[in-house]
Amino acid sequence: MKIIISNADPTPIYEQVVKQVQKQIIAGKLPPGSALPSIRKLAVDLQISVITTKRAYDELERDGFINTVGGKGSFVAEQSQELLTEKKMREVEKILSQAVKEARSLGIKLEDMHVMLDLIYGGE
Amino acid sequence: MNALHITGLTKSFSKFSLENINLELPQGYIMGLVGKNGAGKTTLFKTIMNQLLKAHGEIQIFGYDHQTDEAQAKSQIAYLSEDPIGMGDLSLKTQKEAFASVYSDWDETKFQLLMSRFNLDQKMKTKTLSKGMKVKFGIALALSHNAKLILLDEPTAGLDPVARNEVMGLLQEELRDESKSILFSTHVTSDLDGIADYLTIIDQGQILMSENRETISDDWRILKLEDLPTGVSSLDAVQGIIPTSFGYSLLTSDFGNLQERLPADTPAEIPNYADIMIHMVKGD
Repeated sequence: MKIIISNADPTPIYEQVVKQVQKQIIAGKLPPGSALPSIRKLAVDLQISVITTKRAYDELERDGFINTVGGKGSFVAEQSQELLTEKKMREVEKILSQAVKEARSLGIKLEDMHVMLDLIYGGE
Repeated sequence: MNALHITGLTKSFSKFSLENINLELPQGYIMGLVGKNGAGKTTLFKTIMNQLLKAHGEIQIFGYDHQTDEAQAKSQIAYLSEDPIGMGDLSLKTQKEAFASVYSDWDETKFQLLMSRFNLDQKMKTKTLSKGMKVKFGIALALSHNAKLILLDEPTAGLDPVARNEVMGLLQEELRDESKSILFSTHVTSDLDGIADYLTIIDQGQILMSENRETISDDWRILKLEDLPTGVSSLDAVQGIIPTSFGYSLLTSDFGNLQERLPADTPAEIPNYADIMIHMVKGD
């Protein structure tokens, strides 16, 4: 598991942790069943507070990304392929809707956006 | 379970008093107690340790009353006082032995580990130690007898930024054992930035605020205002207002409720601990 915390980032620290763990789970870098570091170990490693780390894990558990087994630690939850795909789509949808909002405010037309998307997707 | 629970604590001296102190530190967490010199930090520690008698109120350590169950309460506590080390001619080894003999749970292995980590040699004499080395020696003593509640009065005073960071890191490692809790005082707010779970500000013998950092990051905001809407300054949610060259800087503990009374585009930032101090503590 790889997490980088930035104090310059206005996103709250717990959310930075949540997002980065989520991303690694969705991308399959953290496969189902793999163990996460304990809350207290992660707090030490990232030099952030225990209460912040705990909040991040609570959030991940609430959204079904991880399971916490009392006395044993936290593990990446088993998820159905459909659910995972849906989560991936939702991530991209979120970013795209930001792009669309920005494009609208700048007066860029939908067809120009299509061209842009084709170019960017095909170019990579 | 609270590691430390203080309710309605009052203690008066001729020129200074602790007034109605209420404080809760849950087990497994670290709390920073911040205040200027003379704010009451050391008095509070000494009162918890029953070295100064309180006038009113209750102090409980893991549910044990600090006076009626003093032995049980104290067996849970490690206390590093502001000026922990005495006699200049004694070696650190002699001092350690005197200290260790008082505790049944002395952990020599851990003590040795901390000493080497701090580059301290037991043959050294106290009078040859710098301020920073004394503090480190005191911390090594305090952390080596398996106490569940660790009270540290200014553990970073006199330390350079590198050593300060080292000490804070060490405190956090202690918390990997979730049965442990730490209360430490400081007048340097940057000591709290990374790791403190709870922030408590004391000024003129009173607790101005005591809150966990997630609540602060959710609800507390610094707002930049050109004008103060009428009635706002007297609200409970407003913790402090500072006039500035462009208008006012306002600290609120309940941004959600205050928002509707303010212009829609009011800039709001999550305060850091220094911001909170500056807005809440009055200058001399």
